[in-house]
Amino acid sequence: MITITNLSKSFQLSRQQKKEMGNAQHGDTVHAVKNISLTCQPGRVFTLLGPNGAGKTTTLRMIATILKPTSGSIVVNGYDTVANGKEVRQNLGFLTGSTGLYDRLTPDETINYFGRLNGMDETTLQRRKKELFDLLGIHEFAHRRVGKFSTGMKQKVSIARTMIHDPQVVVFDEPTSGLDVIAAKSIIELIRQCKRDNKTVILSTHIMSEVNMLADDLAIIYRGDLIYNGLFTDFKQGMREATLEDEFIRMAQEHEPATI
Amino acid sequence: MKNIFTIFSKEIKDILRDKRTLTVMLLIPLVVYPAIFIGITKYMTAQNEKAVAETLRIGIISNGNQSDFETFVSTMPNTKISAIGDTTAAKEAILSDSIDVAYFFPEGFDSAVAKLQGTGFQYFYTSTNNEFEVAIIENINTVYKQALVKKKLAQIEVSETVLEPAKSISRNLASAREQLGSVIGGILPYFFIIFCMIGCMYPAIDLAAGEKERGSLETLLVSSASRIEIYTGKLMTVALSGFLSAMASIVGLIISGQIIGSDTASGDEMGQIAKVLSDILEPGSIIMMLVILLPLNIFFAAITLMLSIYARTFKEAQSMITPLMILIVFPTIIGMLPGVTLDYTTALIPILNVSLGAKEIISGTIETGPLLLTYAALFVYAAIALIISVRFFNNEKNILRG
Repeated sequence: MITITNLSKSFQLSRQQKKEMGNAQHGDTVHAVKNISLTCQPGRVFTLLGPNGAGKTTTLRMIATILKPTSGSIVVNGYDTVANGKEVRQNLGFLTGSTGLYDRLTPDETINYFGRLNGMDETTLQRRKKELFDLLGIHEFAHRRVGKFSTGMKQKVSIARTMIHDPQVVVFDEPTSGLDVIAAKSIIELIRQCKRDNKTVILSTHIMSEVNMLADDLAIIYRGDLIYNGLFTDFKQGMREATLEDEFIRMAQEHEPATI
Repeated sequence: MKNIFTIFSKEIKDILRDKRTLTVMLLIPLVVYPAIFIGITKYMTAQNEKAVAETLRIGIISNGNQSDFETFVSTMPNTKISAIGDTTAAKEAILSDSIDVAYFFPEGFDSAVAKLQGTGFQYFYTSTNNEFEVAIIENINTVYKQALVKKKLAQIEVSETVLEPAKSISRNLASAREQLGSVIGGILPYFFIIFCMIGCMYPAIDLAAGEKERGSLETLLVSSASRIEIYTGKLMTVALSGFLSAMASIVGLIISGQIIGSDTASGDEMGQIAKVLSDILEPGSIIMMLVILLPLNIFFAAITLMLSIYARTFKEAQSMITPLMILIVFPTIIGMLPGVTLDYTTALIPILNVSLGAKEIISGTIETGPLLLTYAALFVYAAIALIISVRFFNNEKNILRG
């Protein structure tokens, strides 16, 4: 379970960043996330929807302890992300669209590496690795170096790496971006499996079809503000536009009409 | 601690599989540089032998003098004498490379010498002749003039001691190690400082900026390992790589020294230097140098890793770290200059203190005070670099800059 309370994150801009942003930026600070509160329950897929630069990744990075909140708190399975970072990470898996693998290591070595870093004992690690390799069909290329793998093969290894320590909370940050249809489908299936396994799943995306397919709960984030937070079924019932895309645009316009 | 070891082992495995890093870290210092060193030495020795064996072609314009110059020169090995008509013919012969040098004796040279009236002779050559030829010509002139003086003194029955009533005889108490070590000692620190830095560069770039660019750093940060464990594992890898590279350069030098030393004539300068270089690297000196090298190694590892963490991409890290080589080469070269010694001031200047310290350790002239100050200064600089580097790694702005 993830509980986010009054979460904000600001970044101080360097002179170079201000120059690059030009007139679009006033002042020295960017407020990436503004006072948001939400709860993600186990056995449900919590979908975070928003355009690029809305603050989705910043929020997920704070959940994953990569970034520290400017104010507010995040509690993951009972652990505060600032005070108990290690415990949070032990309970967490993080998967992005970028596979982020080591080209010169084999899948077997990669999984051993992350399993050991996550404090797994050797017997559990080997058993869990075998299960994942069976499930994902990695055995046939388990001892070849990752460098020359196809995107799909890399994505399988990336999934195994994320799930090796059987995390109770799984964070998906735009996990299908840049992937072909087959690789994207394996991610969708993984998210469904996590839900069936009663894991807490938070999925960040800007792809409406994925929201339609997977979401139990929905939060829409726009320019750092949370402009919707509730059940996805309620959201669909209350839609004033015909499609999810149009509804999303309408809500964003309401929030900041001059910029849409 | 377990996580540090896990990260360290993985990084070592990773860089040992990287051909580029292996080439820079081990192949160049261990094989390429010694091969170049041996090649140059062998080439110079061959050139020297060729020059010594070559015949010096001498033309003489005697102008009727019956000087004993021709007789004198004919006793010298590898000379061939011919008569030339005048200076114009002599110049043409030199420029067309039919002779190497032409001696012109003016009319009345013999009688002027006999009467001690003061006279001279001219010799024509081109300064672009190879340096061995020029040295032989100058030697002929000196020895000929000495022979004339000796002969004249004998004629007038004056002892040769009149020219040098009291001889100064030097008795150098410096050992061969001290004499050659002060010169050769400069080469060694140059090699190990440069290779220590080169050895740190590529792993540092790959382990921080490279990981950032590939997206693997983010996944590593989400593992249960703490930031300081990740940093320490990476720093240990970079430092070990720099250390191995520096060691490889020393081993390469010793090997090439032994190859050259066993293969060249005892009188050969390069062979002598190479032999002394391998002889003076006894265990005590090596251990003292390693103690100096260690904090420098950590200093380099921390700086390169810090810049690499800050860089957005592999390429940016390369362009930030490569200019550091100039900053390192400069004090290293100053340390090689004669007259620059390790004292209480130079002991505080990073890199220069290592260069001078190692030089004096090799030549056996190191003093305890400046050496201890060098150690202290290096440990302080390494600690400062480490603190700044850790702060860089803990700064989320740097980690996610991209």
